[in-house]
Amino acid sequence: MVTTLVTVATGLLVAAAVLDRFSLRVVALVAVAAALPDVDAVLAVLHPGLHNAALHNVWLPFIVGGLLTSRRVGLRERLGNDETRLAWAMVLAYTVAVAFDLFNVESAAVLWPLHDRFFAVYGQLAYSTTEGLRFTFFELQFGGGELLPKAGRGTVAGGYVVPSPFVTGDGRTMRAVLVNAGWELLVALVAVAVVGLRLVDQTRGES
Amino acid sequence: MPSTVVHVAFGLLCGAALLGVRFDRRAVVVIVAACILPDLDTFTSLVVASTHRAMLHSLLAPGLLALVFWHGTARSDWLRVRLAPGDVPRLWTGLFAYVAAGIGLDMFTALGVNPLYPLVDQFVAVDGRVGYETGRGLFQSFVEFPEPETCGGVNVGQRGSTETVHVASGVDPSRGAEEPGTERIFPVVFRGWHVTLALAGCLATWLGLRDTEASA
Repeated sequence: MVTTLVTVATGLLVAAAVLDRFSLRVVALVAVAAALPDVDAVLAVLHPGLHNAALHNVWLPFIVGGLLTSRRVGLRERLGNDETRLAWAMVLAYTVAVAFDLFNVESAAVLWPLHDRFFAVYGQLAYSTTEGLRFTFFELQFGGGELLPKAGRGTVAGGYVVPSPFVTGDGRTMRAVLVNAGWELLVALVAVAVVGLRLVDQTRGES
Repeated sequence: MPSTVVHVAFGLLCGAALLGVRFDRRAVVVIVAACILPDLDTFTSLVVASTHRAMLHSLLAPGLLALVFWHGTARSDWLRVRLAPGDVPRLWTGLFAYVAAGIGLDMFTALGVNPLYPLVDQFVAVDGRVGYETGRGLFQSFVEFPEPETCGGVNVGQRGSTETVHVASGVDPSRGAEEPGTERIFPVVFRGWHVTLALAGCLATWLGLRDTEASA
């Protein structure tokens, strides 16, 4: 389980890498985009299956990306270059946040609602001197049955639930985790340092 | 615990984020080298037993480098005159990547690093959780304080010295000489978050370089 703190931190690092101009407004907007997927933990109050499904999808970045590139819609002309870049950075931050839950035992239904299935893509890529190359992320299965038997979990309609702070096993305890492991704390600290340095750099350059 | 590939990817993500428009191919070379450097102590481990995660994962190594950079660029200019324009921020960014990605990712995962080696020979792994739970309140397990009646010390993830701890690597799987035919594993990624960080690093590097080259 990767916490919202980490998705926001990583989203900010990616945004800092792709944006030339950085400001507190940019930080706030990117943070909102990176935290957006986890809002479905609240929607889980309506239907427990919606956690990691309702807002963890590939469709939202596709649609927004399409709108940003489409000439007919003309968002690019209306927003201007800087704002278009910021919008792209937000799309990237959102996508990275979804990827954290997809590449995890926790699973996310990234194709929902078009295809109702939770996926958890994880495994090992390594080279062993005795066994050779080891790759256990996908076990593709063609010809009937599930395409990704190892990665597939239950479905939203089938009552599969990813536990969330508001919907835990016994229905009484509430558990909200800010940091789940050491590396998560590190990523958060690094993001604070990098964002701080970029903002200082920017204000120094402007004065 | 992550592999060198993950260290490099996270280092590039940090570097691209820090440098912004100044992120170019030359910076990529510096950052990649800076992230590989600490893992070269897998080889010193063959000579001085169990010094992987100690010799070059010691914070004294980047500390010394920082001192050299500072002396050569700010105090006097013997280093600055030998560098190309714009190299000073690249070097400092490389040093940041060394500490944050090269050492940090190892220090903040289960096996830890030996941060003050050789002055203090103690592996430390900063690992734990922070959160809130009904009935339990706020909790954290990064620093554990001893019960008042016992005489144990504060636990911040001490793992032992190079005498007792050996962090295995493909180069040196166990302490001392290996039997011929011993399995040596060279991992690339083995956790979901390794994949996400690696992808984010590649993405940031690609887009960062594209922008810099387009504006040049």
